[in-house]
Amino acid sequence: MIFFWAFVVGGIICVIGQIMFDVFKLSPGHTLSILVVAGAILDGLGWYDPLIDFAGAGATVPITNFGNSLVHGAMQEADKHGIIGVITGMFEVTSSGISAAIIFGFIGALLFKPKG
Amino acid sequence: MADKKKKNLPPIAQKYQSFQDKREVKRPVVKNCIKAFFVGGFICFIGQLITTFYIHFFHFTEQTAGNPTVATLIFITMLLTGFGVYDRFGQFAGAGTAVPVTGFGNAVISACIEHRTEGFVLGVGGNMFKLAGSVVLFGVFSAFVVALIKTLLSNWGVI
Amino acid sequence: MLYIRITISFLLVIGLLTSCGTEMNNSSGRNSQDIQLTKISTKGNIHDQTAANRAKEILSKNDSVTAVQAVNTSNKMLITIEIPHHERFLLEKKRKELQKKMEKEFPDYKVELSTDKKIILELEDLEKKLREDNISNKKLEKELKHIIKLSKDQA
Repeated sequence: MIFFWAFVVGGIICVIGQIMFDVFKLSPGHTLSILVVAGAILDGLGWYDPLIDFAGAGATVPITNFGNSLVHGAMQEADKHGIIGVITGMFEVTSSGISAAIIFGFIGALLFKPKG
Repeated sequence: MADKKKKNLPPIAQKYQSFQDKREVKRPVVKNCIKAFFVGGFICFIGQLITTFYIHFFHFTEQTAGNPTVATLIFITMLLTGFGVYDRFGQFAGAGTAVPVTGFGNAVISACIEHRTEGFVLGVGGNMFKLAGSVVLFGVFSAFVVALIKTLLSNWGVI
Repeated sequence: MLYIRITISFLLVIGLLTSCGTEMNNSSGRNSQDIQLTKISTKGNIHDQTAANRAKEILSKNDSVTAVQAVNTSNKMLITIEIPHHERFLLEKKRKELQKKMEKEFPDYKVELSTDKKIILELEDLEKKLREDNISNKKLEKELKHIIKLSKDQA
């Protein structure tokens, strides 16, 4: 069942992005930024984690999860160390996405040649 | 975005805007949405397969399996971007490939590959966060605001 | 013609996805009268599993629980449950509620309740080893401690 809902929920989030592209004529940068902020706000309201429980990868793969895990990391540290934790803990949970992008970006630049 | 500033433009520029709007190629919104739905859903489906694989064959739990899943997806994106296949999917599916984390990875990786001729330090390093930069900026800042509000509210006993 | 082909292939994809899901569902037994659990009777050597068996009985009466596994040592107990997919939105709430219930029911044990797929798999393995009498007391304690630590691991 989770495979079906991962497909559907992931698709719905992408459709929201597509509507932002086509109807509101936003650029990809704007759209992704709005989606990340939306992910952070939904996690603040406590609605994103139930969505992950329900849809699995359908909620963890889209870029909205980036905002969600930033808030998670910040809250985890804030629970332990107080307000300063909000700043220190942010990238604890998210590092896989960013580190992977940077590392594989560099490896890609080493291995591949730009095409015309 | 252009229609936002329409009111501030002099009348002749406004006339041009409406001239342009009439002649602009209409986007097939419904068709694009359907394509985005299927491609985006498919990428998330693959993500779910990878997550399930990591849960069953490695020592990851549901909570921690998200990290290797994202890393694996970005690795696959590197291969697809390097061989020039990813942007063809992107042209077909629009937001279906841009919204998942693979789109983020593609933006960084394609910027790296493209600017490699300018040298690794200035070219690759200087340009890799062209698109990713705004995502990281707004993500971090909004997470900061949300976490700050939540912490303050829980400290004051409201939550 | 092309669009018809594309539509048919996507409908096949969706059918495939739903069947992927239902296959896994059948294996975890969603029949409400037939909740998947096996009570463990252990011979002399290993920790007595009566507390775990009682926990399984209590939880199987709960409507939302489709499968339950439990293992206990002399002072710790780990329980895992599965709930039907459409109730997963309230997974965390359900988990907390059942954890409190089990803690009240077994005040002499340190009770942990988990819904995580990995913990379910690990606990099933451990139960299997118990049933086959394949494990010593010390090993059981070590394994249970390891699984509980895994369940607490936050990314």
